[in-house]
Amino acid sequence: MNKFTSAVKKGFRPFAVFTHFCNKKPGFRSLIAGIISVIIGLLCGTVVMLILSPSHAGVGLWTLISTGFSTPELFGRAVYQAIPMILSGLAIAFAFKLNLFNIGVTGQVTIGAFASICCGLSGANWFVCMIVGGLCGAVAGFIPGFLKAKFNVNEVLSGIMVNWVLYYIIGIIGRIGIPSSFKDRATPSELMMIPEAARMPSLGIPGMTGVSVGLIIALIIVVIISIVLNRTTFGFELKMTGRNKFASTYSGVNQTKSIILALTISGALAGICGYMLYAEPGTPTKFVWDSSSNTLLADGFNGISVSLIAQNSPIGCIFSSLLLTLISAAQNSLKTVSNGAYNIHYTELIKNIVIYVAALSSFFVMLLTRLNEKHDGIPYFNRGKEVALKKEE
Amino acid sequence: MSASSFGSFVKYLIMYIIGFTLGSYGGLFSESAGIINIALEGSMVFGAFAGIIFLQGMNTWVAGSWLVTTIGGLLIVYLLASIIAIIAGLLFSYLLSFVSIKLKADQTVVGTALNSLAVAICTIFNTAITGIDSTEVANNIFSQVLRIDTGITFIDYAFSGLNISVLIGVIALVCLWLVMNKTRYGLRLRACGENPAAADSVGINVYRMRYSGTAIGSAAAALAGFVIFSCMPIGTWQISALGYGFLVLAIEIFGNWKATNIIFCSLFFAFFFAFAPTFTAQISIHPEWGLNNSLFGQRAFYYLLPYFLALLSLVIFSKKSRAPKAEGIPYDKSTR
Repeated sequence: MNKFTSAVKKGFRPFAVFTHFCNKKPGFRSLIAGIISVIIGLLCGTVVMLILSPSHAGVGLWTLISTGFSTPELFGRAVYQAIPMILSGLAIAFAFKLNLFNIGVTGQVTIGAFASICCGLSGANWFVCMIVGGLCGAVAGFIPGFLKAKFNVNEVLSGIMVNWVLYYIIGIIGRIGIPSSFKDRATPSELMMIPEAARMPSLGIPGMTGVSVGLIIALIIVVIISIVLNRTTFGFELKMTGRNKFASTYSGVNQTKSIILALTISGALAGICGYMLYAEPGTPTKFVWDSSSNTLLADGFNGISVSLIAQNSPIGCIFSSLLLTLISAAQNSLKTVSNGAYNIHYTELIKNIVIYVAALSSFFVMLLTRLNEKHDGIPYFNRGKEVALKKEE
Repeated sequence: MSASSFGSFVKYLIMYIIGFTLGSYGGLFSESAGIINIALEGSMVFGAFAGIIFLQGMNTWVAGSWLVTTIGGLLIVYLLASIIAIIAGLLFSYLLSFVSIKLKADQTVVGTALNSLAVAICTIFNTAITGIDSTEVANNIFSQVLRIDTGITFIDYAFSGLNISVLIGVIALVCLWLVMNKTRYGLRLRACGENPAAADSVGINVYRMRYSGTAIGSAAAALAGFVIFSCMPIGTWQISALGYGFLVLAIEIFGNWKATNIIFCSLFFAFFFAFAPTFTAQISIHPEWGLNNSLFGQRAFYYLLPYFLALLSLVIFSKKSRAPKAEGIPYDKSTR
C-alpha cells in the first residue's frame, strides 16, 4: 500500500497529500522548493530593507514585486533579457542531469558571442550567426567533456581553465587577428555593434520591440530538451548515469559517449545564448574583447543561478530567468521611491539571497517529509536510499 | 630589463605567491575535511573588503594621527586589518559549512551562490558605510606612507606599497603547513575527508572537524584576498576577486591536494602572472624589439600560458590525481 492510498483511507488530509506529491513527483517538488526559496529570499530582502531604511520598506517591497509588470516596456525588457538566460540556464541544467557541473558555460558563452558577432560583421544573416555561435560553443564544451571522459579530469577544473584560455585567446585574436573595421572607432577595445541583418527579427509586439524571434527559438529548445530528457533512450541513459554511474555501466550505457555528448550539447546551448546576448533587435550591447580587465562575462554565471532556482528543470528555467530579470527591472525605481536608501545594487542582493536559499531546497523537501512522517507515522524510506546511493558513488 | 621593472616584477611575484598559496591552502583545508569550497572567490572578496574598508575607516576616524601617518603606526593598522579580514573569513565560512554539514545541501551549488552573494553583500555594505553609490573601493590611501625611498631603484620598486599583511601571510602559511602535515589535527582532518565513518568510529567528531576545516580554509582565503588586493598597485579596487578564487582552486587540484606541491604550483602561476604585466610594459616602450603586433607581444598570451600548461599537465598526470574520497558527500551518522 503506498502512502497516497493510506493517506486517503485515513480521511482527506491535504498536508499528507501535499507531502506525498513532494515525494513522488519531482516536478512538483522542484516547483514547491523554488517557490519557498523565492518567498524566503524576498523576506530576507525585506529584513535588509528594514535595517537600511525602515520607513521605505513597505513601498520598497511593493516596487520590487510590481515594477516588472507596471508598463509593457519594462515587461518587454524583462522578457528579452530573460531569453539568453533561459538558454544558459538550460545549458547548466542539462549537464547537471549527468551530475556534471558545466562551469565552462562562461567561456562557451563568450566564444559563441565573439564568433557570431564576427560572422555577422562579415555579412552573414542572423540564422547563420546563431548556428556559428552554437557550433563554437559546442566545440568549447567538447573539450572538458572529452577530458572528463577520456582522462577523468575534473570537469569543474578543466571548465575553469578552458574559460580563461578562451578569454585570453579572444583577447589575442581581438588585438591581432581581426580587421580593424570590426572594432569600434572610438573605443577599440570593443567590437562594432552587430549589423541589422544579423540581429534577431523582432516579433513586433507593440510596446515590446525587444522581444524577438529568439523567444520562440528558446522555447522550442526548452521543449526539445525536455522531450529528449524524458521521452528518449538517450535522455534516460543520461539521467541514469547521473543517478548511478556503476548501474548504468553495468546495463550497457556508453559512459564516454554520454559525458561527451552532454557537455557538447550544453556548450552548444551556451553558444546560442552568447549570440542572443548581443543580437537583440533594438540596440544590442557591444562586445568588449579586451582582456586587460581580467574579468569573465557574468552571463555564464547567471545561467548557474537560473538553473539553481529552477532545480535543474528545463521548463523551470523559463520561469526562473523571468523571475531574475523581473527583479532586476525594479533596480532604478527602487532607488527613486526610497530617496536613494536602496541603491541599484540592492536587487542584486535580493537575487543572490534567492539563489542561496534555492540551493537549500533539498533541505525544505526533507523538512516537509519529516513533518509528514510525524503526521502519518510512515517512515520516509526514500531518504535513506538517496544517501546510500550517494555513498556508492 | 631595467631595475625598476625588475623591482615591480618581484613585488607582483611576492604578492601573488603569498596570495595564491594561502588561497589554495584554504581550498586544501576545506577539501581535506570533505567540503568542496567553491566559495573561495567569495571568501577572498569578503576578506579583502572587510580589511580595506577598515583601512578607510581608520583613515577618517583617526585622520592625521601617528597611526596613519607613520610606517610604525601603519604596521598596527594593517595588522588589525588583517585580523579583521581573517575574522570576516571565519564568519563567511559558516554560510557554507552550516548549510552543507547541517542541512546537507549540495556544496558546489551553495558555493557558487555564495560567490555572487559575497559581492552583493559587500556592495551594499560599501554604500551603507561610505554613503557613495559605487562598486569601487580605494585601496591606495596609504601608498604615500608605504613608499620606500632608499635610493636603490630595485628595492624602491620591489617593496614600496607592500604592507605587513604579506608577513602575516608568510607566518600563516608556515603554520598551516605544519598543522596539515605534522599535527594530529591535520591527520584527523584528512581522515574526515577520506573516510568519515572510520574517523567517527575511533571517536573523532566529524561534524566539528568539518566546521573547523572550512573555517580555517575560508579564513586563509580571506587573508589571501586581503594580501592581494591591498598590495595591488591599482588606485581603486572593483569589488571582485578577478577569478583568483577559481584559480587557487585549480592550483590546489593541480598540486594534487598536497601542501608542498601546492607551493610549487602557485609559484608557477605567480611567475606568469607577475611576468605578463611587467614584460608587456617593456614591449610597449621598446618598439625596436618588433613584438608589438606579434603573438609573443600580447599580454593575454602570457596570462594564457599557465592555464594552458596546467590543463596539459592535468591530462598527462590525470592517472595520479587523488581527490579526498568523501569530498562533497554530506556525512550522515546514521549510515555508518
